[in-house]
Amino acid sequence: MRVRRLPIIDLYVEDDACVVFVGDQVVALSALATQALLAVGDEWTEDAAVASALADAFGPPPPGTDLAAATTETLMALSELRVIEHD
Amino acid sequence: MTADDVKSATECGPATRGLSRRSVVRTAAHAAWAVPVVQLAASAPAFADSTLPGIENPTYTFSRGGSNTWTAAGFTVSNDGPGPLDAGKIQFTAIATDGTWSQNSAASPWVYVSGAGTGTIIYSYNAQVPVGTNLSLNGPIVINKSNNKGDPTSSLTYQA
Repeated sequence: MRVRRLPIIDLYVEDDACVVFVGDQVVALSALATQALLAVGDEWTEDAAVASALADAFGPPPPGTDLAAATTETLMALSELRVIEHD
Repeated sequence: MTADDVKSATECGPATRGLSRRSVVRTAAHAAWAVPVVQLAASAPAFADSTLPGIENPTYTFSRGGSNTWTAAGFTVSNDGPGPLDAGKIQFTAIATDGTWSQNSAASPWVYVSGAGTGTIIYSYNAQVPVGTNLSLNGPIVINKSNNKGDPTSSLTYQA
């Protein structure tokens, strides 16, 4: 899966988290989601690259949590918020 | 409305915090994998959906004072015209990721708009902003938070 960022009205990043103003919503994202969003640019980005960025930032996920699956879940949640889109 | 319609809040001045979110995350990196993507969502104030093209370089600080008191101060903007910005067109918004806000004080011409008792409180600058550079918007705005949890965020937005 590839992802890319959609137009955002405003993005405020502080430390590891952010607040994003998109559509008619202001949404506070978790550190994990913030890192994922920052790893996604305006050009198509492979989800594996995002997974790698998350692992670099937070270390491997705990036992029982698959890195690829957790990354996909995070990206899909961001996609539902219309912050990013996927192919 | 486009992405250029509202100035980025990252242009605002530094905010001081008593507890760094980074320190919390770094000491429990594994926990980050279990935190839901969305920690808080709120409807954006309709006021904040556009900007005045002539307003540039907004700065301010948003910092925690004693106990659960937060202060926004040092508001400055530049207005390169072509004319003054009408009163009520600039808003300050504070968002609590945990707890609720209540009013403490707001120096004139800042006036409370809405949000006391909720996690998002809004104030409006109720004076005209003339053409000029590094204009002081006075302040401070002082608000109280119901607890000392989480890291509040803030933004300064304006409407054409």
